[in-house]
Amino acid sequence: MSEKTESVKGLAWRTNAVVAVLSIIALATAMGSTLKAQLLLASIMICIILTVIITTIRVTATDNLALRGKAIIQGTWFYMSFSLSYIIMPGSPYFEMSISSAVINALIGIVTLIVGAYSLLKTRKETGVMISI
Amino acid sequence: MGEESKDQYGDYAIVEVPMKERRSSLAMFIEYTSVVTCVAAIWAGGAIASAGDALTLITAVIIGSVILAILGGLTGLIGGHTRMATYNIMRYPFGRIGSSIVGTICSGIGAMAWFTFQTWLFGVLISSMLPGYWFTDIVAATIWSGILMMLTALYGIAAIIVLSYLVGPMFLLLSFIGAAASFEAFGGVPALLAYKPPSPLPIGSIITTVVGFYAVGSVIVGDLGRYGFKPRDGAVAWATHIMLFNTSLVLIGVFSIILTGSENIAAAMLKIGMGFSALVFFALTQFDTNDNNLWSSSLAWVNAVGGRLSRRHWVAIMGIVGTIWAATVSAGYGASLAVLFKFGEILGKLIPQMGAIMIADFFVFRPYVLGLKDPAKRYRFGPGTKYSVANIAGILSWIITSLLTIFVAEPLGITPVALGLVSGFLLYLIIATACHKSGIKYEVGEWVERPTGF
Repeated sequence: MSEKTESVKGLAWRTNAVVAVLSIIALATAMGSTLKAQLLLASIMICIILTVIITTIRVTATDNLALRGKAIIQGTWFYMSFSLSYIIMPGSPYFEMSISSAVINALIGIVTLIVGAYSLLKTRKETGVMISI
Repeated sequence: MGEESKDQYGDYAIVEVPMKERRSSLAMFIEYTSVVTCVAAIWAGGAIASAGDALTLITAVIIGSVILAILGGLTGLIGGHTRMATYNIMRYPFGRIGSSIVGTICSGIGAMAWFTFQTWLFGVLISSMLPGYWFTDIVAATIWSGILMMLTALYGIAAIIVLSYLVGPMFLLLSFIGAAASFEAFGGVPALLAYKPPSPLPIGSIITTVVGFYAVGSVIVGDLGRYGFKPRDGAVAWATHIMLFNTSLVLIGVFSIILTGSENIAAAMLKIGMGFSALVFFALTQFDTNDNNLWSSSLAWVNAVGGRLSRRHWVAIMGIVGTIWAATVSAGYGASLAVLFKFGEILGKLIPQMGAIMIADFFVFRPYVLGLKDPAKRYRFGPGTKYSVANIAGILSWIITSLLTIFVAEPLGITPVALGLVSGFLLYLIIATACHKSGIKYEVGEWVERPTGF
């Protein structure tokens, strides 16, 4: 049981770290862009980083497998939802982002969704916590 | 609770939610925020924008939200204690047949009407943002979107929660970004304060409409609240999401319409320059909002009709009826939001008193008149449980109160929703207590619950 609890913790650390790095890369694509674009990507990044921090604290604070699973699944849904913004918003004319930046952001959004889907399925398998918790 | 019932109809429509199916308070919060509020609140804000100046509208929205938070918080608490859907809870204050009738009006028809209106709004959205194609014509878009929106409701509560988790947080983030964009692009606070409403209405009427938009939702909070780990989870999640997000989202709708001078939110977003992004954003969130309406409607119909038709059958039936109705509305009214204002006003005059009567029965009449102090023991459910066929006190209170809100409130200058809530609450207590103390039978007939919960 304790080995499983540790492996779930490791999964949470890895996936959350990847997502945090991706959100920082997304912000970097706004360099040289308009202030509106920078504020948009900074807002999304802040939300994702906050989600990652809260998830990490919740995962570290407990040794209970079910509680760990619940924390990971809820955090994963949040960053997946925020990552939809990378796909939807940068293409909007209001933010005046270049096409290449918009495409990179959309790709970052898609990769984050894939990482999230993997994290959800793996956590459900390891912990037995339902995805719609 | 009595003997354990069999979940024949799906999603514990008329039986107790078991421990293994209970959800976190965060899931409740996300569910209420993204499924019940979501984009409907922004549309609602857009619909009241022409009724008052900025300060009047802000005041009305805050007062309306406080009423909703209290009303829904208390009905959610009843769901949390009993673990039963609203229509089962109504079996006590309205009787078994009374609950079928009142529940059908509130949710069977009320929530289905919301499904209809939101399907129509989706048609408005698509036709406004992507004009010129046969499939984006308002009637065509209404029909195919209605069919799409039935899918998650057909699957059930797990699919609805998954969609909410995926769309809800993004919706909140981007709504605030959209509001900031409309402030930045169209003159901000000075422009807002300078706004003169084209057709001003009394503040009481605006408050009634604000409450009316969410009246069905606030009475049926228990439908989701019964899934919480602790009895108070649903109630706390509801009150928090109303005060944090219903208030701000309705105001975002108000401000966007005022600042851009557009006829609806979709047009406002196009004017700001959100383009195709806004279309995708609204399409996702509208989808997310509307499935829950159909799901709640199906629970009410299961309680009213029973028999061989399961929750899924009712989702399909109500979904088809709602889609046809929405197509008719879109053919008749096009993209005019005037019909949405009227709709909110009607719901605000009929529904909130149902919640007030339920609250009066559970929190005052049963503990202080009947002496049932333990909340978990105030209502019993399960096979063999005996209910009255009709609770005259509840039904009479609702009828009298509805007549007062429709015909008396406005001529006397009283806010209809306030009159409905106060008079519904007091009338039920007065009639039920007077009958109980004087030995007059106010609960008539007897209905014994079957093993299926019907």
